[in-house]
Amino acid sequence: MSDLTDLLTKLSKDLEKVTTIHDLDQVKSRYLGQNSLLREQLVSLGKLPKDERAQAGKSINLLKSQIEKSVANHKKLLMERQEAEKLEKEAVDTSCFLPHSRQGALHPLTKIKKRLQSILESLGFHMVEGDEIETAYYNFTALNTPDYHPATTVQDTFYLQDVNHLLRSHTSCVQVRTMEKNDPPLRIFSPGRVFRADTPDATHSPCFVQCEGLVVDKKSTIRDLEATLRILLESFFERPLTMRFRPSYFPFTEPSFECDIAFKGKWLEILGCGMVHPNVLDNVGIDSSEWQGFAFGLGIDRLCMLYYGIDDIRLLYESDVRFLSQFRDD
Amino acid sequence: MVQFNIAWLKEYTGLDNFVVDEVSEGLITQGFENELHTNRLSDKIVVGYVASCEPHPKSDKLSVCSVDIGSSNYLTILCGCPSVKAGIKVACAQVGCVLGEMEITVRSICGMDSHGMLCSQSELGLASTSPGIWHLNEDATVGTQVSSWLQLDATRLDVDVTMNRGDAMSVHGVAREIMAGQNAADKLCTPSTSFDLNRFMSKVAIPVTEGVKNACSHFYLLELDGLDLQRPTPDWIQARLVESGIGLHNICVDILHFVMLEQGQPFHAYDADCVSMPMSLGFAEGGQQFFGLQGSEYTLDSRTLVVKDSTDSVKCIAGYMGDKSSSVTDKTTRIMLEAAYFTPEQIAYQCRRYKDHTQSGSRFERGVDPLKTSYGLSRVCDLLIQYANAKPVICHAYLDNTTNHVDQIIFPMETFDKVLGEPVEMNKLIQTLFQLGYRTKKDANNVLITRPSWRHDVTLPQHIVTEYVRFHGVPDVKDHSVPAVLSRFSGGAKRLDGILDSMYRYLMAYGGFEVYHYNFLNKVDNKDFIENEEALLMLANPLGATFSSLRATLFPGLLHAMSRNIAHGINDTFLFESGYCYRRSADEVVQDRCLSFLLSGDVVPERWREKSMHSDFFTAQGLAMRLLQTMRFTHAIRWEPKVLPGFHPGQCGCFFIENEICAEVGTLHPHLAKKYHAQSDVQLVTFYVDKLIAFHNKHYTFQEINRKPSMRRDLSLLLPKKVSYGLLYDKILQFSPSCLKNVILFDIYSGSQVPDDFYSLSVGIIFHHESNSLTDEEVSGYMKAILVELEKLQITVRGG
Repeated sequence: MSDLTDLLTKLSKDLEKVTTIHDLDQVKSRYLGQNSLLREQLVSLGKLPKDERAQAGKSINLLKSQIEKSVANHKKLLMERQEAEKLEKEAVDTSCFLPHSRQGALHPLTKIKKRLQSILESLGFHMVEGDEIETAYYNFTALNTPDYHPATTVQDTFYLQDVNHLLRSHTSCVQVRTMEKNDPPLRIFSPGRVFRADTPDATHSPCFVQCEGLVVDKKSTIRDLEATLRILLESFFERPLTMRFRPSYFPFTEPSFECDIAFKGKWLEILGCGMVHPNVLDNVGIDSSEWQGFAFGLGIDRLCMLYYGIDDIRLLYESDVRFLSQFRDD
Repeated sequence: MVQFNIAWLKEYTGLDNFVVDEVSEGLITQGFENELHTNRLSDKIVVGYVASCEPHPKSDKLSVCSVDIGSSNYLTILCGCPSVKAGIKVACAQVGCVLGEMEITVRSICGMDSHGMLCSQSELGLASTSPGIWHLNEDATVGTQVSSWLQLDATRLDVDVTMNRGDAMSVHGVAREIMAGQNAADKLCTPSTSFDLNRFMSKVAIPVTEGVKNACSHFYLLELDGLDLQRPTPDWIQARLVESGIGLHNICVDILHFVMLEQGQPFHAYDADCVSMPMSLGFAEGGQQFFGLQGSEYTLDSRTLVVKDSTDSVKCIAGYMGDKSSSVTDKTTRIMLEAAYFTPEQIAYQCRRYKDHTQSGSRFERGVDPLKTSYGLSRVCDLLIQYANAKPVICHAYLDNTTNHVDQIIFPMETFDKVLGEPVEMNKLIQTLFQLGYRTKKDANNVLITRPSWRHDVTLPQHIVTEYVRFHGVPDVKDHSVPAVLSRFSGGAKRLDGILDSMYRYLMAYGGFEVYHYNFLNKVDNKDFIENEEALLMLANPLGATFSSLRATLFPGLLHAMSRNIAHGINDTFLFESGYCYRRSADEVVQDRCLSFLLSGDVVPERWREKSMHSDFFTAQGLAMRLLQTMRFTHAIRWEPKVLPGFHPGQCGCFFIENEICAEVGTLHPHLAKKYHAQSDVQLVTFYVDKLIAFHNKHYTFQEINRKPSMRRDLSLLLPKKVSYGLLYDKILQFSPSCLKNVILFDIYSGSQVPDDFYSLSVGIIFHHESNSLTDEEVSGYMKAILVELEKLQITVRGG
């Protein structure tokens, strides 16, 4: 039996040398296979006296299970080692970034437009679309700007050759078109391009983007106008603002205001607004003694420049990819 | 805009405590945007007397002047102005003072030292340009500081007067607003006049033609004789005019301008020796030629109000511009001085019709005070008598006393609740209106308001609310909430927005940058992409040839953007823009909403693991097709090759829905690629968004998921070259049993392995039955049948 007791010591020595599953299988068959010592002992068990047989059988089986356990443990060890080696081999230089195939961006003007849109929609304003080529009637006359009014002057408005049309100089035309087709109450906004005969420079552009707002109901007041614009602008800039309503003049609103916000110690003009002029309502067949409302028009370009700190309006229209690629967020 | 030296304003306000910043701030809250400009004339600029003036020994341009600056001090000053001479009084800047950016130091010029500078009006910062050094009046006191001699303050106020406020286009008008803001309207100063117009009134009225009554209610022509227009205009008047941006002429014209700036009333003077009396007021004959003061020529129309002389020759476009032949020069000795009230409508029409900006026109079209015409005339007359030796002779007039210039407004106090959103005390309103020159009468709930003659703009209760708000501000709205409401209005813009939004997201994900370009284009660039030049819409008043036509396509804008980026070393461009394109169809103006993109250079950037991928026709076509496939349409999308202007004739075509083109795709024509300095092929795509909306299937319903397995069979085919893949594709799908779902093209080959006039395609055909699992036998049967059909097109199995 002493052979058997040495067996475990010998096995552990043998296993130390085993580095592959194949070698392990050979060791395993040497200790547990047909020609193994253990097998011989098991066969010779029958030769033992009856009273010793049970005891000896028990020890052999115990030994067998110990051998099996050692082999299995070693197998697990080998597998682990093998996997670790494989993973090590598979390691890459993770600093070799693979750039994503290109990602574009919305134009900052579109982003600002969408920002305004989501605020206005949450206030119950509906978006409407307006044509860019208009007639003098919708751009001026219906907006209480008679055809001799200085605002119609050629220096400001682009007129088309041969046809009796012009490029709208403000989005207010949409007010008229909407009111012609829909009965009050109304709460609409309309972003879109407008055109003025200004030579491009850092602060002027012959075409730019405006957003018109219009509310017509029975009792919208200047207070409502103020509160609406405060909500709009404070939500837009995500901070409380110091605002000022400066009396001004537009033919299509009375009273009219320009709204300034305090920005870096200065007043900055943000939009024009006012109570819809009764003549404008009457022109579209809405009874101004029954209905009233307010309108506002803000320059999206200006808001965009303010929001992103852009100091030259021409950058918005030059399509420089180095500029555009800065607006990939969201 | 009007601009005045503060000293001038101060004279009219009569305020003891005139704080410039407060006045400026007050005007802003009253609705007058303004800016302050500071130009502090140094104490070291004094009145000097050029005692002697000799040519510089070493320079033919310089004079060496000895200038007396008082207290027996003489300075040697070198002066380069040709008009310098001995015996004149000048504005002399001494060493140590600063003029604008320039500090006056002792300067050595051609070997001589100069100890100061003789100044022009522009060097003093008063005028933007001036012809030479300023020859001051002879009575200027030598040694006096120039700023006090000219009665100038260091600050100038520039006021932006809105279109409705003609009454504030003068010193007097701005002062009136300031005084109302200070609650001190009663202290406003108005210069008194001594000229007694009534003594000179003629009994014969000026003849007018029919219709004049609607355009003019007051028209005076005062004859003045004995004028000496060689006399200089007083220095202080000159200083005020040039600081207000008005050019100098002669004493007569300068005084007319001075009173216009002061009172807001424009005047005109005719050289009486160049007109034949009597003069009359009426409308021009259509087509008549008129030569204006500045030399421009105008063709008059019959709506134009004119002043004629007895020969029927037009001497003035009323309220707008005088003619050249009767203009006043410094040799004139006898004038007809015109003061009138023309209606804003009439003059605004003339300003629009004849386009040039004139001081007179810009005041009359905004509205002047009709009841101040005779006062203004007297004020001018006083000054002409004082400064130009004028002798009044006779005054002719046309006066229409039937026109009422002061309307009344019944103002219900509830207007404040209705418009402002809060009530206002009646007395507070009445006080405010009183300060502004209104007369009021109360009853229980209304105020009967009579507006002042200078406020043509006030006709409605809303205007009265404006007046109140100008002085008391808008309500505080800290606690005021605006409930969100759902209005009953619905429009199509939301749908357009949704469609554009998904298109934007798609293009962005593939690397596209959204861009905005001007809607105007060079005509030549526009023409590259259209079939019919007549369809282009041209601007009547473009900013220049670069912007002469309205864009009929978005492509040139994108191409120019590509060129600019190439110039910056960026060769891979993927840009998209959405917006209107315009064309003319018969006499209609058509506005198509388009979305276009431009693709050039690599679509996959250069990276270490794989090669960069160049974009080509198929990249663009594939992008366009997949984009269309992401949207749901009521009908199938169909591709058709089509030659389009501006494109490579062999690489372009259209996607159709029904018979409408919904997208155009192609490679830019090589000629145009060269024009735009393209570095590689340029792909262009336009989607016609209105068409996409028209066919958009807005009510999509869920389709049952097909849970049966699908089967694929691949075929390698030999096709005659004239048979396109599109034809093959259609043929296979046409044949289809309902379980034939798709055809995939996975290889194209033409080379030595296939006969001439043939090419090879490999396709995978996908079968998928909704309810049954397909068997091999079934599919083989379909495949056999497909091949029989294909053989009719001379398509055979390759190697079969």
